[in-house]
Amino acid sequence: MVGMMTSILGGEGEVRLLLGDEAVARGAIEAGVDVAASYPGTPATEIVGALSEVARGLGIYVEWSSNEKVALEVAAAASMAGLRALAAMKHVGLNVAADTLMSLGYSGAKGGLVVVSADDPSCHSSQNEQDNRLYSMLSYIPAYEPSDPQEAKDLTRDLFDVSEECRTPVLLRMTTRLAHTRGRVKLGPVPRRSRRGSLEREWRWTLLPVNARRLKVEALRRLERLSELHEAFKYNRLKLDGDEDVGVVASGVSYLHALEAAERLDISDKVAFLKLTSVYPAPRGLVEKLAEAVRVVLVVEEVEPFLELQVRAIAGRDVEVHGKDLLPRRGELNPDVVAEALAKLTGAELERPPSALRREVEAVSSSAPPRPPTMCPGCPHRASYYSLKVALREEGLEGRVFVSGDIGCYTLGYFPPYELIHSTLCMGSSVGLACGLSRFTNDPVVAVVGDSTFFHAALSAVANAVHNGAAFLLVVLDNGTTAMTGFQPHPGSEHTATGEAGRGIAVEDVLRGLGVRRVAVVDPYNVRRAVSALREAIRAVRAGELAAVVMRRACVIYELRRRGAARLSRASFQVDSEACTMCMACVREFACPAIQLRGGRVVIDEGLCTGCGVCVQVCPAGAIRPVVRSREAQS
Amino acid sequence: MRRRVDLVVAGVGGQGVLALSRVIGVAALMEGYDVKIAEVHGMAQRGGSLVTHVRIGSAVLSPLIPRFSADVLVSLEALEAARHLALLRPGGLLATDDYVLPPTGLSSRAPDVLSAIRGLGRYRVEVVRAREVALRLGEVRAANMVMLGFLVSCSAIPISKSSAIEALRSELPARYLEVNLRAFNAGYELGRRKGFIKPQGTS
Repeated sequence: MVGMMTSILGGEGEVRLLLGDEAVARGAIEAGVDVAASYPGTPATEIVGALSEVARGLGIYVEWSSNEKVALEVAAAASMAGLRALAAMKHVGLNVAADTLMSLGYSGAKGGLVVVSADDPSCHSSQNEQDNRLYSMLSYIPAYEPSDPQEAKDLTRDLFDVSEECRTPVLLRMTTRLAHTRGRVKLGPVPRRSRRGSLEREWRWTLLPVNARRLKVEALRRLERLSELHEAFKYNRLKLDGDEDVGVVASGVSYLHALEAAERLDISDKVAFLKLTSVYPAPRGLVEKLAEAVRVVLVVEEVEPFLELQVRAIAGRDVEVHGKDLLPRRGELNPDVVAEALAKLTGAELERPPSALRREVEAVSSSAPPRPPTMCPGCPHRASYYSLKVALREEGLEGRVFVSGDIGCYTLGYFPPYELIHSTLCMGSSVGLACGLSRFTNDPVVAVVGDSTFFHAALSAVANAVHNGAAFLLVVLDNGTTAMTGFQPHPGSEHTATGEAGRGIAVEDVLRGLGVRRVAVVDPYNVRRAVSALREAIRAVRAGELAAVVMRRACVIYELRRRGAARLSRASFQVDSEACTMCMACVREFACPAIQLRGGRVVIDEGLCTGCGVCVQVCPAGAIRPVVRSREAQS
Repeated sequence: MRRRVDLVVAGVGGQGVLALSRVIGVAALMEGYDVKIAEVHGMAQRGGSLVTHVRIGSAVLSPLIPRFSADVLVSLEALEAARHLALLRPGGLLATDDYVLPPTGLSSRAPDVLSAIRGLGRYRVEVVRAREVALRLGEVRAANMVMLGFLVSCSAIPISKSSAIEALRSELPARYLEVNLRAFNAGYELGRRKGFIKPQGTS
């Protein structure tokens, strides 16, 4: 659903309201990018998502790769061929691609290669909040942080030049608060492109030890050159009048928080500012210039003291440096916490809301019951979890099974009332952990993984299970798409990122090909069959086998969008209050958001019900019945 | 004096919080303002609590609104209004639907948060039955545009009717344009009947 004013297409000088992610996509287009690859992950998804929608018209090759490592390799290959390429991923995705990244830090780049890491301070949608600027130090790759969508756009465009000039990949670090902030972006020109890649044999692409030793020397030389270049890098800004007592060094969105905090404290003209966009290597000269002029420096940055350590190393003897002693190392920053820190350091008066107000408001706010994310009405995962619970209960295993979960909407099976998931570490870990767990515990082990995650990181773990004879129940929740990030295709899909036909690989074929002998495929909307397939598989596991059940049913939101419909069938469902015994099985055990307790009765919210019909099979009293709606109301 | 408005938009994932924020942002851009909208994507969208910060002004710095400083809090659901109340400044406008969507699996009664908020006596509270109006129009998902019509007609946001409609046309899918326009106009009428409300003391 992209509107005209939020489209990344448009002529020079036009103004758009773009997400930071979309601005990066536009910047890549303005740089004449040839190739973009990614695996979807919040908060990075919209970068390649936006590019995929316009790729065909612009002649850019865009793909959703099966994982981040492959995405980076596809982009690196383009760079080796002299083309401009972008690889985007969420922070933890860079862990998957880290092996490749480290080698690219040695080999360098040829065509401009921009690697975008979208970090997630505060873990809005992630398993951790790691600060990927640290990868730049580890890999000898320079890192950059823009502050707002306009800068994200302009910087991305120019980073392709930096990459080619210095023959290095570059790391662009975004954080959630920029990636998902819309802002005013003035568009620049889009170049005509007519480049074709060409490959030459170059020793630097083969990292044999004999070459790697030489490449390390070159990588260090590149860093020296970048350090100089960063002194005059146009996105860095030093605001220094010379009479300031306090200096702020800030990067990314933190810079804007700091500007606003200073304005609120009415000390904007009493504080010097060094805004750093090139955060590694930090420009020594600029930092020294600030340090010589002020008494004390506050480094404002999200998550780790990355700039702080560099500032201390450069100027720690000449100036008092503060950072993570006054600002939190966990969670994202905001204007309030930065104002507190600045007030403490400068002695400026910070007007705080009266404590009576805070107390009263807190009392009202906390009375609102929490509303964690839930599986959608009609979500096939809910039906799968319900069947799994029933199957375990009927096999006498309730509460005795360890369920190793994975990354996706189905991680929500951790929460009540399902409470099935016992572990979720990272992409693909469900199967790897099950390989070990099943060996070290007496009770059966279940691994639950989604289809996109299965192709991303579970295949080698399945091979491991087969080869080493691990016995557990592998449940693949196959909803046909990468649902949580917004329905991107994966290797099981019949279409590619840009809408061309793609060969969809069936999960059960992969399992059988990898040597899993016992594979069943069921529709989770059919509770009876699903329970029976799961029970059979559980019995096989207890007899020492590896058994897989593929639970296949399209993501309900994806399916409804595809059909352009509000519900799956003409029927919606209602509770016959005469027949309802108020046993609450539907509310407490199935917990579909459409089923609610209102005025002491169980009712189904017609606006929320998608007509999946699973609750009919859940109700022991047979009180939930279909109501056929008129044609008109249906669409 | 610079005209600056900080607006918080709240609701439940699926209610159209993002679309409402985006239409307001685009309209403000058309009016010549600088705009920033802090959104939330991903897991939180799955039926969870959803909030955006919309900042409109001559030059917006941070995308985040400090606590107790928003001029307007708009909510498409009552519990979400309460949840994000700490962003609203005393004297600010709370425009909220009184529709209560109990969180999934809640087996006790949801609290009457609107009475509690009114009881504080610190805000201008306007109940806008946007969902009810949208249901009458046959499209519950248009409740967000009812709310937009209300906000525009009572000048809670610095956006003219024509910019709002232009933004709505630009940003929402063409096949729902008709019903969204009707929703907007219905909300606009609601606001007109309430009279001219302007949050006091916008900086």
